[in-house]
Amino acid sequence: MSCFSAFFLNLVRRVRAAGGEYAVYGALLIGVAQIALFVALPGEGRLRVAVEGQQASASRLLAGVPSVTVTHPRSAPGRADIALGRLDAVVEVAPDGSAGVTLARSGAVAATVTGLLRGAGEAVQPAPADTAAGTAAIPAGVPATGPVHAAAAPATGPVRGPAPARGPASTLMGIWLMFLLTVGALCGRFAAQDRERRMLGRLSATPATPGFYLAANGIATFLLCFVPALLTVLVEGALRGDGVGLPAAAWVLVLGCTAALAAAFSLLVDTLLPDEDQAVMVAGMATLFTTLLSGSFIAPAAQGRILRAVSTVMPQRAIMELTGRLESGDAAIGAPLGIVAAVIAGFCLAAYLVTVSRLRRGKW
Amino acid sequence: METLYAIFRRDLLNLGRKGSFVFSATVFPLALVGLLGLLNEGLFGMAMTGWDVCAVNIMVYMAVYSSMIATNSFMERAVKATNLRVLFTPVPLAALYLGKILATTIFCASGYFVDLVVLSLLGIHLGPGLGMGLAPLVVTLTLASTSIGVLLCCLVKDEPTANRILSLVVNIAAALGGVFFSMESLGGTAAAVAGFSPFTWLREAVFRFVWDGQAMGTAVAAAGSLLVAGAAVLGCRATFKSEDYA
Repeated sequence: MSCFSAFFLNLVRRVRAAGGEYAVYGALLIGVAQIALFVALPGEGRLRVAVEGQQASASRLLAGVPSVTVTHPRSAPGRADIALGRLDAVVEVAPDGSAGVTLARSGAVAATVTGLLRGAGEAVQPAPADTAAGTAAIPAGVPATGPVHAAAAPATGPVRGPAPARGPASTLMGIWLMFLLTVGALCGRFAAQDRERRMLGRLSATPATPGFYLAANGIATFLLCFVPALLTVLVEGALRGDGVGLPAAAWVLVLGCTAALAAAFSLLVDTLLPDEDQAVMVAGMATLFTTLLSGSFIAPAAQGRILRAVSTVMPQRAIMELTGRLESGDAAIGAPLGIVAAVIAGFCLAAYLVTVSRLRRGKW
Repeated sequence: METLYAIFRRDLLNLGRKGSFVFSATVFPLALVGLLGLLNEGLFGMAMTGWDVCAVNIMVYMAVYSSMIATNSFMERAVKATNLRVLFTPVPLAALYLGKILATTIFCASGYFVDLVVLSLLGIHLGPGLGMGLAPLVVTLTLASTSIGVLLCCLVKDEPTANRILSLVVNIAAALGGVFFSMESLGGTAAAVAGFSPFTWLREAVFRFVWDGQAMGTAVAAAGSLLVAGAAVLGCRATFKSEDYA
């Protein structure tokens, strides 16, 4: 145990020596949280349709539809506006008063707007509750590119509404998760530094065991990620008066899982890769890839069947599910907790086995 | 000039020999486009496909991401030792950082050109000439990005720290700029936040060029990138100290 405390105190000294760097990480985490919460303010949940030409008639047609926001652009909207997410469809009104969709994000959007213009369209359905965005099914036979006259395209699936359907806690974690994991991976590179400085050879000559060494590194990384994140949500929750969607104990659980995952992943990467540079680069790439795949940013409902199956076992997906269930008051949190715990245990065990194997071969 | 060329050539060779750099400049962007394209496939389909949107987003992201390769090539421990020897030869100090900036720019931009052509050949719409219409912007953006990476190294005097700070800042700006998901589709508040990210400006310029044939935005972005690169090089000149390498 004295070995553990010696390792831990050494890490505390190292963190204090590089205090400015860790302050930057903390400031960035707080900044991203503020922006995420700012974004999570109630949205409108509407399709945005630009109307060109005889605007009054089309506006009259669409004005009564609560799921549509009508804009009248000064210049002709282009496809870039669709690609940027500013518009979902463009409607042109001819001099004879007939209106048609000239540009749309997807076939389902075009068909919905066409239906609304005829006064007989189906209403826009909101996105699923656990997602930031829903999905738009593309009707068969619809060309992938080119101007659209949507009359021929029937609506075959729900159309994504543009506003976030998540609660504040889920929205915060959806945007924050990748940065929490990245900060964990960036903070916890103590093992890689030790190996580069050839410290591990010396440590192998002491009574310290790899288990104590890894545990000290893991706990230091966990605290560096967990403490600033928890303080941020607690202070923010007190200022907002709503706890940012969750009570403090639930935030401890969610952020504890996230920080433990970050620490375990950091341990694994640090022990597997030969130097600090590669550890940082690989950790960054892997975090970006897996977080995108997990549906943290892009909703799982928008993924294909295979991707959805892959993302089911992603620990980030489990953390998002855990957050969503806690926020909705669902007590069934065993499954996501189990996935996160299993992944953390797997990472720690792999890091331990790699270290022990190196020790046996004299390659600490 | 001859010295600068010699250092540039050596740096270029060193970059090409490192597998992780080659992977970052060639395979990583394609893999990211593949992943994001699959994720976004169902959200588009008429005006453009999800693949078209993701390819533009990722190529802009990668051009800015070059700053991390620049920090690695400038102050990585192995490179530092050889640079230290160069500093004790009669070589102008500027040749050291200018060589790194130019070599990293050429190396990364070449990789991105290959990616643009591959993506265009796969049927993704990236503008005229197999995506080569974007070449001037890609080069200038990469130049600005690598210059900022080297400048940050000069300021913090430590490559891992510079790399970590850049990694976080670039990813935050990219997420807020709508690279990974459309911030502007989240409503007026999110769109206002997204407006502060340079990624939003760059994406808009590229989308307008690729889809609406308006080249003014990319020209302004390229000119702005050149200005940023120039300012960063001046910053390097003011902050680069040979004793930082000791």
